[in-house]
Formats: sequence, structure tokens, C-alpha cells
Amino acid sequence: MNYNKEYELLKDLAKLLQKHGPESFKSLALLFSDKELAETISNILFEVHHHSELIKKTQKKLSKNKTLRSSIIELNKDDPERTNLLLSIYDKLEENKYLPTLKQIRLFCEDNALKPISARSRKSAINQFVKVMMELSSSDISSVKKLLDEKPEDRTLDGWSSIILNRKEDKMPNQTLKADK
Amino acid sequence: MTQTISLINMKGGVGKSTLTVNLAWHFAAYSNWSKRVLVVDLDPQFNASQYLVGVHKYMNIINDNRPTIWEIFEQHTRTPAGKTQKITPAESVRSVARVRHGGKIDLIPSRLELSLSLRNPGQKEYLLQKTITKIKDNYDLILIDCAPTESVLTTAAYLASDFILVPVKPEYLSTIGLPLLVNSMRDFHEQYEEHNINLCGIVFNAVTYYSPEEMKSKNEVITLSKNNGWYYFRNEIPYSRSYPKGAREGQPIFRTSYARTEQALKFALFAEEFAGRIGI
Ligand SMILES: Nc1ncnc2c1ncn2[C@@H]1O[C@H](COP(=O)(O)OP(=O)(O)OP(=O)(O)O)[C@@H](O)[C@H]1O
Ligand SMILES: [Mg+2]
Repeated sequence: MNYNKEYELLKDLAKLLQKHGPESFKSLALLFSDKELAETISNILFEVHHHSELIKKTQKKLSKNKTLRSSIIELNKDDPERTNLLLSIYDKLEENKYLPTLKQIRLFCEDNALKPISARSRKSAINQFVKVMMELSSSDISSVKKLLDEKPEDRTLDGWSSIILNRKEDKMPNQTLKADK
Repeated sequence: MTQTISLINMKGGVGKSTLTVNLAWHFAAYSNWSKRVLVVDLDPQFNASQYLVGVHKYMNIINDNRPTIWEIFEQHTRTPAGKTQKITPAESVRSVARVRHGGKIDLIPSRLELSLSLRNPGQKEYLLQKTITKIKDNYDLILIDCAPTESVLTTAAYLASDFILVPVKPEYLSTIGLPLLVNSMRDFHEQYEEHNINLCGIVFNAVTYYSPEEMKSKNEVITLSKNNGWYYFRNEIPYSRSYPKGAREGQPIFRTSYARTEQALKFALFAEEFAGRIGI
């Protein structure tokens, strides 16, 4: 009998053993002795695999020379709300209404735990950004859009002066500046 | 374990706020640190808040009916109606940045009215420590940016901290702030014997490397430190225009493209030495 396949698997496992250490292997084996847990894990693994296949498919489709815009429409045809959300983000980026510089796109991703942008021009950064959006759930896309819709920050002396000079003296705690207006 | 560090120096303008914010960014987002960092702005000037958030966000902060550091210190003060306003510590925390792999910066903001708290300092010194104890499990590192004058806020910072980090500008008058600070720590030790604070170290900030006066001040501080067994950081922070510029843009030194890499690297080296000192 030929054990080639099993041998290959063992070789891979040996590499993983080196990477994760024998202790993690032992504790994992212990976890797997619980049947229910083993089943849950294998389901999760299947889901993860399925999801990453989906992402790969999306990326493949995207790379087929289509415009990003038409891909957004095609990939989300069953979900018009999602399509609108993505298109609105895409369009506002293109129109410089969101994150008008490459640096701002990069920092936005960094500050909001989104996949880092490697692109070197704003145009390709927009594409990369929208592709990252396409991998998110609709509710996550909405939260990102909310952040994008926030007014661009003001750090001028004038801005700070108006906060500092409008304050009311001797207020009690928890009263707010609202009362001033 | 969470480490809480106060940046203190009775001398103003030595870089407490600048280092607080840059250290926060470093450990949340630089290289692979991905730490959960809380910045506590303990200065009525609210410089750390200004550095970390802009005008709009700050406006929301003071209008959102959630507590700032001021309300934390005033929670036992009676209102004219005779009520006290107990606060929920977690509500005072605002998110500044969420970085990949779990790193984050949160802020307990300050506001000008905090200076009013100083008029009635009675019994307030434990309030910060109590607040921090309730939320510290959410963080790996807590940095407290202190005001340059000694007050009940300083005592509160001592009580809440594991370590004190002291930025010093290598200038004559700035160096005299150092024995003043150590004196204040001694007074504190006498009054609150049960509480242990450690001097994490003295760091030279805004070093230009070319004036003999600067060298002299630096050497004096080093000698003083050696004689008293205080640690001083071997990595110094050079003078760089990128620091004020970064503050204006709300960015740390390592994100300012005009910071020559060397300057950003020097800060990173200091931050690593600091991490070793406090054990994170
Ligand atoms: N290494 C540096 N190089 C150049 N400028 C610096 C450096 N460190 C701080 N500064 C600048 O010096 C000024 C004072 O710094 P900072 O506000 O951090 O000091 P501070 O000790 O917090 O002051 P305060 O006592 O008023 O709270 C700021 O304008 C800051 O940008
Ligand atoms: Mg300051």
C-alpha cells in the first residue's frame, strides 16, 4: 500500500508542530476528545473555508477587467440596499468627497481596523478600499459609511477658541454646553 | 497585567502631553504591539484631548452627557437640589482609534472646568484610582497626562499609578523641576504610606545635541540620578519640529511623513526601553 498522502499530511503536521509548539497540540487533542466541540470546530472550519472561497471568487470576478462599479452591481444583485451602500461609498470616494488624499485613505483603514492599503496612488487605493468593503457584512459597511460621513476634523485655533471661549462659568457636573446656545 | 503610568513634571512644557500621546500611539499601532491603551487627560488645559481628537469630536464629547474627568472628580459634590451624581466609569471612556489585531486608543477626556475642582479639593484624591480600578482590565497600558502644577490632581495621579515617568528638557530651569518633583513624591509617601509608586525613569526630551549649556544640564541630571538611584533613559528624544506639527494634525511622530525616519526611530527606541522598564 502506498502511504504517500498520509506521509504528506504528516510532513505538514510536523511543520505546524514546530510553529505552534507541542503544548498547543496536546491541548487541542484534549479538546477534540469532546465530540460536540469537535463537531462545532469542524463546522467552523468548513464555514471559514467556504467564506474564503467566496472571497476568492469575488476577487477573481473583480479582476476580470470589469469596472469596479459594474462588479458591485453584479455581485450584489439580490441585495439592492447593499449595492446602493457600496456604490455611494465608491462614488463619494471618486468625487473626492470622502478621504480626499491617499494618506487619509490609509490612515482611515489603520484607525478603524480595516485591511491595510498598500496602493501607491489614490485611484488604486479607492479600488482596494472598495474591495475591502465588499468583503464586509452590510451592517459593517453601514458603520464604515457612518464614519466616512462624519464632518472632517477641524484642528484650527479658531475652532478650539470657539469651544474655549463659549464656555459658561461655574456649571455643575453633567450640565453641558448645550445650555449655552 | 495592566500598568498605569503618570507623566509628571512640575515644570511646564517639557513634553508630558506629547510623550503621552506618542506612547499611546506607539503601543496601540506601531510595529506589532497592538496594545489596548487608555489615555487619561488630567489637565484642565486638556492638551492630550486636543491632540487625540479634533474640534468636532471634542464638541460631541462635552455635549453628549457622558462624564469627563471633571465629572469623575465632582461625583460626590452635591447639586443645589441636594443630589450627588454617581458616575459609571466606563461611560467616561471615548474611543479614539481601533487598530487591527486588537490595538486601540481610548480617552478619558478633560475639560477646562476641571480647574474648578481644584477649588474644593477635599476627599477627591481617591476618585481617579477608584475609577481606573473599575475599567483597568480592559487595558494593557494606562497613561495619565498630568498638569504642570501640584494639586489634588497630582495626588490622585500618584494614587492611581504604578509608575511615574518624568520628561525633562535639558535646560537649567527645567532640571530644577526634578528635585521639586522628587520632594513632592516624598511628601506623598509620608502621607500615603500604604501606596507604592515607582519612578520609572527620567527621559530627556527635545534634545538638540549642540549646545554646551544643554550638555551641562544633562550631565547634572545624570549625576543627580546616579547619586539618588533614579533611572534615566539611555534613549533620548531629539528636538524635532515634527512633534508640534504632528500635534496639529493629530498624528503621532511615526506617521508624520516629514519626520525624518531617524527621529521617528529615536522615539521608537525610547518607547521600547520604556516598555522594558514597566514590563509590558
Ligand atoms: N521633542 C520635541 N521636539 C520639539 N518640540 C517638542 C518636543 N516635545 C514637545 N515639543 C513641543 O513643546 C511644547 C510643549 O510640549 P507639551 O505640551 O507636550 O509639554 P507639557 O509638559 O505637556 O506641557 P504642560 O506642562 O503645559 O502640560 C509643544 O508645543 C510640543 O509640541
Ligand atoms: Mg501637557
